[in-house]
Parts: sequence; structure tokens; C-alpha cells
Amino acid sequence: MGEQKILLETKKLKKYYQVNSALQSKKKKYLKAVDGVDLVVHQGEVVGLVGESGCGKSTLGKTVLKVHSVTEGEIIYQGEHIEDYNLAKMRPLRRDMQMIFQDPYAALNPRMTVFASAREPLTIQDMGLTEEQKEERTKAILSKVGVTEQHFEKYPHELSGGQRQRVVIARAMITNPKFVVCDEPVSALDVSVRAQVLNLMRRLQRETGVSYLFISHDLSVVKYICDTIYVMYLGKVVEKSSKKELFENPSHPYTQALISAIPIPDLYTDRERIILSGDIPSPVNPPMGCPFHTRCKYATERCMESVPELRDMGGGHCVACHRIGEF
Amino acid sequence: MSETLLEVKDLQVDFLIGKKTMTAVHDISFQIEKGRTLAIVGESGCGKSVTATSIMRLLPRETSRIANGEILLEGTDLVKMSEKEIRKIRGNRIAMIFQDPMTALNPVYTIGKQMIEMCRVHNKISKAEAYKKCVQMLEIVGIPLPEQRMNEYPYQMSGGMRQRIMIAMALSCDAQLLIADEPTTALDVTIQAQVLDQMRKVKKEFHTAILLITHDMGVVAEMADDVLVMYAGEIVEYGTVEDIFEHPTHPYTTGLLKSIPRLDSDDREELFTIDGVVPALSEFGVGCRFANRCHCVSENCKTAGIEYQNLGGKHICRCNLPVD
Repeated sequence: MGEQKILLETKKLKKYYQVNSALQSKKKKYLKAVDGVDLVVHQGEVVGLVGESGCGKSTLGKTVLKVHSVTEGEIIYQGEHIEDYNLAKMRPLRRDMQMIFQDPYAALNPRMTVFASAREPLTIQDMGLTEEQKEERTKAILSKVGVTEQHFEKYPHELSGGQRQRVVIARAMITNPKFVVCDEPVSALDVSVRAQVLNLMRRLQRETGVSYLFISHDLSVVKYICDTIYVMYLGKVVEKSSKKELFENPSHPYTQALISAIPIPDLYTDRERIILSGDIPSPVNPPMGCPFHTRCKYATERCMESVPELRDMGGGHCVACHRIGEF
Repeated sequence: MSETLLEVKDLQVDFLIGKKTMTAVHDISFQIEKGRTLAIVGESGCGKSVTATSIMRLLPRETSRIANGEILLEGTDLVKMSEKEIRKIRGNRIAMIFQDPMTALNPVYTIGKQMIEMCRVHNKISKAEAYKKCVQMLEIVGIPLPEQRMNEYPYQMSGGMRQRIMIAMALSCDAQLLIADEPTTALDVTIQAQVLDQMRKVKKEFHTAILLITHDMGVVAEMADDVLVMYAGEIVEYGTVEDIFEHPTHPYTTGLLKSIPRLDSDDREELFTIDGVVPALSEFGVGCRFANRCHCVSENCKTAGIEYQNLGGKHICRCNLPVD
């Protein structure tokens, strides 16, 4: 990729939710959904965020866009600190920062036609376009994502899941954003339709040079579309690396287990399955020390006491593990 | 070949929508042998769940009916049974696990109460015996501290644990056939690996036959002995797992296998896609239901019904021209 300019960066970003009411006890309890994450997204880069449910990947995606407020830490977008921006100050930035949601059924207004839905961002964002230009632009983007003219005046309930997701993508891309957070965009789709939408998203990315923050629980999807991958566990990043390095040389025990747990549609793949014992601990009451130590077979006393820092192993491959290199 | 446990012959299920009758599942035949796993794969709306629920006779009577065909469990036809007779089959000889373990368990009763109740409905045993058996079953499915868990409520457990409780419940009556409808779809991958591993162990230990319904080809490759590929309410291909993965023949099967992003594939290339979408129930014509999305479609495909071709052994395929 060479030296690319940084588009978005977070420093020690934290997002806590208070979970108990003040009446119950004096001491406040927090759910640490995102707990000190450093994220870097370069221009034109597709960054993947993987992890299991409850690891904070969606919260991170939404916090970066300021859909959720920030508890602590910094978000720097194109050199600008945006962590304290209010809604009014964020609005002009939304043109550049968009989001694609998992459930296309919920993301579209059921009472608006496909065309009206796709056009809406142009009405909200004053981009100095005439009405005609807006019409034209909407038509262009819809045809680009593969929605044909006969569908323009239809309502969301008349479309299939795949078509709906195309409209959601068109809506996100119509303002020519520089940065799009895609939260599980293909998880709700069937296998054959998923391939169509993944191809479309990759094609759009290459044509427009947009950066994606691609959130998914499915490593094989992430591998197809991403350049850099962050693996999260209980609100923390446990491993970060380029795609190639991560799959050839997964270093954190959790990443290793995650990769080995994916069922491969092939009969004769010889590989050792790592089956983790136990469940993901609750993020309200995370274990002391390394968040993964309760399920890790390499855990020692040190892992139970101190939290491992994310350390660079060379070439931007960062791992948060005390015993790295020992096994 | 081992003994046949369940045989489905020419099954057809109709949905009654208003005054109209629509065929949801058509011409389905397959068999499951003792101790083997048959996987039914297909996309949403292809009729895989309808097929499975019709075996349990759990389809709502007001809106659907089994219009044709036989479902033979060791020779007895389940379709002809009265409601009273089928209740003796459910749970005792055929058990079912559903996709969502939260909705399948009653949230206001403890796990123990639900399990013991179920055990005693199906077997004439005392409460104490039932309790013992339930604890033992929880142990088998790998739940730590089973005695403590018996006193807990479903909300106190994670999704993976709840699903293992469902498996334990399904197995506690020594069912010969376990129908698992997307058992791991709602679970995380590392938890999915645990549950699948558990199911494999259970199958080995109790020699249970499993009917596994899934959309995930990876799960199929790991679990199945035989595979049934469904599309738009019909079987498009059926064979052993080797037949389907090594010699996929129907254009839908090959397309499906090629369109999955894989860990070991070259991801510089675009994914193979099957264009278009599955036709709606009301749009089925006389010909091949895959014709509008097929890349090797010919005129014959649209005008006449498609027969099965026998490709040797169990392997059959509903297509005019095998792509070999």
C-alpha cells in the first residue's frame, strides 16, 4: 500500500455504559464495551474489525461516527479532533462519514420509495446541487449498485433482502463519502446473494477510493474484502495486522482459535481444531488481567494479574499477549 | 449399508393462503440410516425447515397440509397417524432442536424443572430418578457444575449453553432421530465449534441419526454423511457428502460452492455469483425452477418438467444436462 495518509485515528478510545441504577448501590457499575482502542484507518484502506458478539466491534464502529458519545479518548478525523463535537458540528462531516447497517429491513423507511430513500441524503446535506443534478445523481448511483429503473418507485417491502441492501449502499455512497462504517453488511443475506453484494462493495471501494471500516464476525468475509484486520475480544484489540500476515501467522491464542473454528466447506482439509472451553465472560464483569485468560490454554499467573499491552512484533503486526513467542 | 430409520417418499406440502393453495415443498424423497447424519442445505425459503417440521407433524393445521407422500419411521407412516399417536413419537423417538434456544426454553421456569417435567412426560420414572438422569445428560453435553445449573433460569446462561441444554433435553428420552434446525446459526464461531463437537460425540455415543438443517456449507462438510441440496421447494441434488463436495453436478450446487468466500482461496479475484434471486412461491413455472438463474440453461429447461438423473450410488441430480 505504501505510505498512505491517515484518514481516521482513535487514541485510547473508551465507551462505557452505566448498567446499574443509582438506587441500587452507590458504586456505579460500567459495561466496558470499548476499552482503550487505538485504531488507524488510512485513505483508501479497508480495515476489518472481527470478533464475537459482545466484543464491542459494533459499538466501536458507532462511536467512531459519533452515533454514540465518547466516554474517553480521542477521535481524529483528517487532523481534526472530533470527540467533543456536538450534533450540529458533526452534521457537515456526515457527508464524508457514512454507515451501512446489518439489517436492510430496518434501515429503510417503509413509507419511502427506493428513489426517495436514495435521494434523501442529498436533501439533508447541502452540496450545492440543483434539483435536476440531484435526480441525475440518484439515478446514477442506483444504476451503479445494480438497482434497475423498474424498481425506482417501489417500496422496501417489495424488494428482496439483497436488493434492499443495494439501496442502503446507494444511500450511503451518494454523498461521495471518504469513510464508511459497514456493520455486518452481508450477515443477513443468503449465500448466493452475499457474493453479489460483496463483489459490489469491493468494486465500489476500488472505483471511488473510499475507506471502509468493515465490521463482521465472519473471518472468511473479512479476508475477502479487507487490507488490515483488527481482532477484538471483550472491548480490547488483541491482534492487529495486515490480512496476509494474520492468516499466515496468527499469533494471539484467540485469533488462532477463531481461525480454526471456522467450518471449511471442504472435505479433506487437514487441520488441528482448537476448541475453546467456556464462554465469553460478561463485559460488565470482565476477568482481571488478560481478558482472554479464562479460556486460554497458555495462561499463567502473570496473565491473571496484569493486562498485556498491544506490542508491535515487526511490520505492523501487533499482538496483546504476555507469552507471545513462547508457544 | 446400515438399516433405514426414516424414509420420506414423494412428500408434498401445500400452504393454504386465503382461498389459494400453493405448493411449498414438492416431490421430496430421501432416507436416513441409523447413526448417520443427513444435512439439508439451501437458502432461505427453499423449504428445508418445512420439510423438517412436517416430519414432526408440527406444521400449523389451519394454513398448511401434507398433500401427498409418506413419512415412514421404521415402516410406520407418520402422515396417517392421529394426533394422539404422533405425540408418542415426538420426543420419544424423534426429537427436535430449534434455531433460537432463547425462545425454545420457558423463561419463568428453572432449567431443572423444565427438564424433569419433560423426562417424566415421556418416561414413567420418579422425580428423583429424573433429576439424576437430567444431571447426567447435562454432564454429557459438557455443562460445568450441572447441579447448580439445574436451579438456574435460562436468562442466566449464554446462548451456547442454552443450545447445549436443548441438545441434552432432546437426547434425554433416547430419541433415535434428532432433527436440528439451524442449531448453530445464532451462535458465535468458537461456541459453534463447541456445540458441533458435542453433537458429534453424542451421535457416536448413542448412535443417533441426525437430520441437520443448515445454510452453511462449512457445517455440512464437517458434520454430514449425506447431503440434500434444496432449491425453491425441490431437491436439486442428493448424494453422499463426497458426491456433493467432490463431484457437484447441478449448476446450483456448483454455484453455491463457488460463491462462498473461503479462507484458502485467492481473494484477488471476484467471487463467483449466481445472478438474480430465488423466485417467489407464486412464480414457479412448469420447467426447472432454477432456469432463470442458471448459466447453462436451454429451451427445454423452461418448458418441461425435469427428471432426476441417477449418477451412481445415492447420487441423483435434477437437471437436463450434467455439467461434467
